[in-house]
Amino acid sequence: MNSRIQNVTPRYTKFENILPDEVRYTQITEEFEEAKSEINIITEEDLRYIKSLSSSQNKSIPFNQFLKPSSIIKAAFYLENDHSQEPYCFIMLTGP
Amino acid sequence: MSLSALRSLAQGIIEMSRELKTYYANYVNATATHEKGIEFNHFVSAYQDLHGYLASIHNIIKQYYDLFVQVCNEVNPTNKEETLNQYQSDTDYRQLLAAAIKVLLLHGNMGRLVGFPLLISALEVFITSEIFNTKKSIKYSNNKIIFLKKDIPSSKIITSIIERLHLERFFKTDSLKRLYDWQNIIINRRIRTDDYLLWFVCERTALEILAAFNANLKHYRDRILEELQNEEEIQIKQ
Repeated sequence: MNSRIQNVTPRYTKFENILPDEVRYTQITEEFEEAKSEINIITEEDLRYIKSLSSSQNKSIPFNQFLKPSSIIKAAFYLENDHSQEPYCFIMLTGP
Repeated sequence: MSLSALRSLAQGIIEMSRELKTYYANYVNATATHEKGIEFNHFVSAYQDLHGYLASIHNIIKQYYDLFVQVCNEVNPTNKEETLNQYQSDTDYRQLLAAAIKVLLLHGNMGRLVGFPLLISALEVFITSEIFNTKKSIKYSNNKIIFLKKDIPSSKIITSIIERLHLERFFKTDSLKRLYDWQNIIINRRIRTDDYLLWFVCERTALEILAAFNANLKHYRDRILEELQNEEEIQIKQ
């Protein structure tokens, strides 16, 4: 399964090369609100998929632990040879 | 983390779209030529910022996708999905840093505040990647460099080694040291750098330092590596 995240891209790219006369503040706000809701649905969907995949592969991922800011930084700025680090850092995407 | 960045960028676009409208209206309504020019400049700058935000959002979405693919491939090794971007950038960081300084200088003189640190980073990347490139070494082309102190020796350490070997005239270490000192002065004393100085360093001094290292490392790389090994900074391993 692939993430549907790229389906959201046109909601943003449609404003590229827009002429100033065509810029509508309310249209941008509405479009971005819809994009935000769509992204939330997709990330939840992706998270469910990763959870089911890890469970089917008998691999445990401490998802809750990844929600801590320090864990997010640790996962994002991964250091080689840091054996204390969990290699699966997906949750950093959906963290706070 | 990605969502947080996306939210900030989306907010940036919303605010920028308002500014863009205002600057554009000011430009259209301005009558005096000088005033029109100023408003046009503001308008173009806002338009570029709007595009910058959109480009960043596009990149973050692609990076989210890639990370999702990487995690799936990691969790299930039979997964062979391909990422959109390569893990390693195919852009040369040295060129990128040099370009960044220019862009900052050309856009509202912001380079005056951050130009030196960026320039020093660009030079460091070049110097260290050239010195430790054993493929270019005469004696150690089949060897590997192990960094004994976890980090790659800094340009300051390399400069002091070069001076100890009395090779400073070949590597323009005086210019390099002065750039380091100026970086400290600018950051710690918050002294504003004059534009002419930064442009001169960008267009002349930095290029001269790079050329000096480029031309002379082929003769002196091995001696520098050996001295770094004597100092227990590195190990030249078979």
